[in-house]
Amino acid sequence: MNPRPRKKRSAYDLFLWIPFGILVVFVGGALLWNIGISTVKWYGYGPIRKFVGFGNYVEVFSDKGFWEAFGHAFFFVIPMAIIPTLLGLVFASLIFDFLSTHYASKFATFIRSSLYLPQVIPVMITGIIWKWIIDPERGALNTLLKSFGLKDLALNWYQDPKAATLALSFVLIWIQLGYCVVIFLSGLSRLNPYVLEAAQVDGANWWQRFRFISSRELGPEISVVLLTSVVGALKVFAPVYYVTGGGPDGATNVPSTYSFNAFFGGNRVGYASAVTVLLAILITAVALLLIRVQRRQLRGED
Amino acid sequence: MKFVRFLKKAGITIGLVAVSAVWLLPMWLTLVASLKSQEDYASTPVWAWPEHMNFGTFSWIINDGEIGSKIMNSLTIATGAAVIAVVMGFFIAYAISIGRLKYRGTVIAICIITFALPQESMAFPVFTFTKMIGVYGPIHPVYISLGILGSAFAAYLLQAVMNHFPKELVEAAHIDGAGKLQTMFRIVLPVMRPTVATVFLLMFVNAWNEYWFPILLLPERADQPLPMAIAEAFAQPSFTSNGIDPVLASAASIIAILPSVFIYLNFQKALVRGVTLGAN
Repeated sequence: MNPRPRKKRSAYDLFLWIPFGILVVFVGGALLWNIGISTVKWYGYGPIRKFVGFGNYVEVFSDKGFWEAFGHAFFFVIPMAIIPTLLGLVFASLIFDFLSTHYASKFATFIRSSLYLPQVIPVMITGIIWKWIIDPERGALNTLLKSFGLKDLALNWYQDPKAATLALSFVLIWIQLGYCVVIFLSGLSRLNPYVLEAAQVDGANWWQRFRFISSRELGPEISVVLLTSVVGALKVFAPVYYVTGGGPDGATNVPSTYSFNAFFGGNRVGYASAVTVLLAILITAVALLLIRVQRRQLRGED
Repeated sequence: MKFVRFLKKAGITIGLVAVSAVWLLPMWLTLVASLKSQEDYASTPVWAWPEHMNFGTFSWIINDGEIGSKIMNSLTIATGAAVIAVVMGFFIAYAISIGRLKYRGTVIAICIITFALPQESMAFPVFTFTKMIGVYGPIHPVYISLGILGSAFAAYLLQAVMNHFPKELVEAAHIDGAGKLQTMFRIVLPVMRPTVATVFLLMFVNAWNEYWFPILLLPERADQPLPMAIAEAFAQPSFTSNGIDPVLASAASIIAILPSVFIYLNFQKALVRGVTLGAN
């Protein structure tokens, strides 16, 4: 191939750099602004009080609440990334089995739609729905449990830290499962059904087909789903904010609710920005893994 | 042997139905609670359909909450953000996929980092910055910010599909003397239209469901989008002195999720396709 003349290239460069320039300036500017604000003390209104350098970061690192919030974020990786990915693999392959062996695609669509529904509902409304359901006094969950004679299981989901964490974990699984199922299903559709059928004829049971064929074929999807879900778990905000509000007494606080409370509740804007900068660094590290996975896929494609 | 296989299938079917029942249960509980009067809620089982349908809570919320203007706010934010995201994303994707620019990998990497970053690391600066220069309040900064940020995800999804665009078509158009812009609008865009529509829909739903920017930038109830206004006004525990009011909260939730459910039921295929574009 001859190198193209410079002039022909310039149109593409223009297409890229006008919108991408806006994007980079916006994101880069916001990140720099955040870093700048994280070095000052400020109420968020009026004049900036004073420059403190790394003072906010020193304060952040010596706060117990901060470490707890990051600990909870890592804990929520289990219900928001690991469990939905595992359950998603199982359900997707069960649904796919149905599609390939039966003429029951309507049924499969229904199952998929109901699992995916929580993904399209505004998260703040999801939060409100679950908040009233787990209301210890008048909520549906405890009323249901009591009417089945399971009084001991009707915990105080608002006040008991362990119960609140458990309830919130279930909400996160409920939200995230549909995303995993849908992506795994589309990955499975790439798979040649005859391979599975041949395996079945050769006597491979469901687990063996799943273990040696489906789950191996799904490698790229599994890493994408896992990494995006880990990112989602680390920056989770709305479900926590609206279901438990980070409570009781900070037991379900995560970095996002923690910095939000510092920002608004405490008017400690510099401190909140410092927490945000740290969270952004952590998430960028995970995103870099995602980029590596994506690169590998791109190379495989070409 | 056949019988065993039948049993297995039946077991799997029952299992799948049970799981989707659990997944839909919160929706069902919310729906029946919203249609009950306070007395009915206290006296009937939580899962039971109301004996007397009561639409009073709905009409009270609709009148009190000025739902019409909240829906308009939501539409403005979601449409504005989706248009900006798709237009910017399309040009970026076109340049790196069809134009095969050499910094393609870097552009994709920056897009991935952008949509992975926590929303507040963008929303805090926009909040303090707009406050400082005094455009705080109206909804323009909300959808412009969401649109610019959304363009990263839009570009990422569009380039994934555009990579498979037949190069011969583009080359043929160039040989026939069509410019880059002409090729884009006459050749590439028509072929890509379903994907563009899908990405638009995804951006629309994302912006409709967005919470960080509205929560920070729109303190006035009159400016808030529907889900946020509902969540803040009718379902916060502070609204009722003693915990959350089940009837009120569920009626408010039903009103707030109706538009989303409507979109979902009508465009399910496109939405699901949009979500899976990036992963394979």
